[in-house]
Amino acid sequence: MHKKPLALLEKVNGNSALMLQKLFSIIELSTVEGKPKETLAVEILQIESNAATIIRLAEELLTVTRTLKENWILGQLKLDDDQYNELERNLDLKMNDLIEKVSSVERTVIR
Amino acid sequence: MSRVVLNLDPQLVVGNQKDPFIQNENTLPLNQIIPRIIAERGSFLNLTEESLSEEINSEREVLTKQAIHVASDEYDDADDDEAKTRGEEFLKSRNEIIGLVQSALNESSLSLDFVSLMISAVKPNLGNLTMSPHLKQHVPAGSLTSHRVYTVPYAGEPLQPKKLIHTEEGSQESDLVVPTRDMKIGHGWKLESLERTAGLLRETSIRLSEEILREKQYWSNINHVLANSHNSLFKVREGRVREIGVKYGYHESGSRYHLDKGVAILKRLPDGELAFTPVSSHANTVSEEEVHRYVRVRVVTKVDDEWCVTGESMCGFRTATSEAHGSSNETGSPGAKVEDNGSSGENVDTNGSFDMDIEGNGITESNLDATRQGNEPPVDGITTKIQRAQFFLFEEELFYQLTREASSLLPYQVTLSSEKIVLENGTDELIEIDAAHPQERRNFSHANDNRADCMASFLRLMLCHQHRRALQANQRMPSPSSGTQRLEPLLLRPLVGHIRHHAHLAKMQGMLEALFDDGEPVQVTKYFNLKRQDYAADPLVRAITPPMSKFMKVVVDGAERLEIKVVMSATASFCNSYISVAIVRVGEAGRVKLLDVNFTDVREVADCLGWALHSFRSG
Repeated sequence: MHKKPLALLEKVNGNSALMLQKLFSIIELSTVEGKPKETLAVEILQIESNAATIIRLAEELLTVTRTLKENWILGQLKLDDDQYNELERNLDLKMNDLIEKVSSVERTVIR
Repeated sequence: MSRVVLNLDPQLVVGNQKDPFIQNENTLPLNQIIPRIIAERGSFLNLTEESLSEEINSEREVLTKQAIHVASDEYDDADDDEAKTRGEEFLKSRNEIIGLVQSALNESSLSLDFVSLMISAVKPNLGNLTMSPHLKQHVPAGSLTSHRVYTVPYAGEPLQPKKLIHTEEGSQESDLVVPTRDMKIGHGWKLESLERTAGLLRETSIRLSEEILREKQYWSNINHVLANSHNSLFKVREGRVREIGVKYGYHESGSRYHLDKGVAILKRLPDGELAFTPVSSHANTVSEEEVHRYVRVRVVTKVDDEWCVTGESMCGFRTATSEAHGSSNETGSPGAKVEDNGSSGENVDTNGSFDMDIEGNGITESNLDATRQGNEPPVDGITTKIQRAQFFLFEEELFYQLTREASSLLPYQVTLSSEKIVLENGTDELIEIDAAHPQERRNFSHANDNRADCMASFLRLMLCHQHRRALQANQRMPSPSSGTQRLEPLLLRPLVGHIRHHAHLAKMQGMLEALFDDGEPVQVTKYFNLKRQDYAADPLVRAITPPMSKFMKVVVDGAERLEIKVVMSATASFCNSYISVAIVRVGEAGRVKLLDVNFTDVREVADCLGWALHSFRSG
């Protein structure tokens, strides 16, 4: 239980750092000067793969929020003791009243 | 089959290459020919003069035969030509085969060289071992891999390539490039790539922001469901998709109903809304309206030799908003508003002021109005659906348990036929219990409606109580011998028992009042077997305890008194009753117990008491 929030925090930090790093490397790769054709060809692929990585990282951050929400919603324990006690109070009297009702009507009908 | 020995003629091998495997037999040294002879003919030990002469003779015969054949050939001119061409053909084919073998040898050595050259890039020693000297001389080792392709750095205007690219054949091709053109191409590529990337990122950001909105909607819906219902939510893994399920069944409350577990999945629709999909065996085959039935109690009375319905219970289902209003209004009302500890659906009041809140779609117009005014999220439909499902699950289980119990109550005028339970009172009245659609609403009110509602509430309460007992049984430490004990259903029995008990009481009271005939009512104490603290322990204790009532009557005659005590009680099975009569005479001789007997019939009691009174009064 202790490790999970830490892991999530680490994931958020790591992912944002990686996203920045990837963006930086895209900018770095976009220079053309003094590079042969082959290198350029490789670099354009690298740019696109970096973009794909950024997208993946962003989606992972979304799952982090989803996990948080899920844990928060499903981890709740509802307590409504007051309502329950209100119902419990005088339950026996109510029950007797009900049985009495059934029986009293019964008796008038029989008579 | 005779063995044909083929001798390869060394002269036939073209070129200077000499095949080391082709040997002239006549020039072989002695140390080589002897093992060969042994290999071909076997050991010298078996060599005899006869076998040698035989062999020589047979060879001679073969030779003479060939000679005769050749001689006969010579006589025929046509055959002669044919033989000549055959010999030529043979020679031609032989040359051809030799050529093919040679080219195969060449090919294989070439491919060996190729493989060696490739290997030499990774493992230079291994490659060098098998490379041919010619290749080694002309091609540097390891030059077949891509990283050995030397590229030309740009430094301005056209340059001579510093290094040459070695191809496999060793020919030299110069890679003359035009850097300015390449720069332009590079610019284009980079721009294109950056544009693609930007587009991709933009699209994704739009997609993800929409996704976030949907996600927000979904979770706010879930949160609303969580806040507005008493049910527990849990994670469900359905294949690859993770969903959130809701448990609205009564298993945690002690229900042992196994036909429907009361679990539904809140499916996530593409727009972030929720869809309520129950997981049950008949959810896919039968429509919701088919499944959703409530237990209806009807009182049928014989009026002028005709049976007609004089009372009918209502479907007590209400939607969330009306329930909230209702509970706030009715807290002070004397009606028995009772709720099960786990259930919120069945909310029963016995004032006879039932609201028929349920339509085909589950939401009445007044609720819709309330929804519009109160800015309630649209998921209100989901909570209503959950409550609906919960309510009707309870009704389904109730009817199931009722039919189960009714089948064992046949001796007590309880009949079970065509999905209907009929209780006979022995009077001009029947009580029918069936599962009805909520849409079958009554059009007009009857005299006994309130009573029918009370009976329906009573049955529901009894099921709640059964759940409670099951829960307590589950929490108890199991004894090693009994295992899981089976709970006998106790729903109809108390109803039948109480009705019978009261009928007997009325009969008895009438009989007693007629018997004593002194204008004073006979004093009756009902349920005297229950103490106040019993109620504190279990509020429903009266319903599950067989009823016991007693009549007390004191007849005074001069100085003597006759105390008559009649106790009517039901057996543990609720349905049979017995009457015990005790008569004590109090006079000068103190308390004398005159009688203490048990009866099963009111008539017998009347006779007995009549006799006792008579004998007392006559002295």
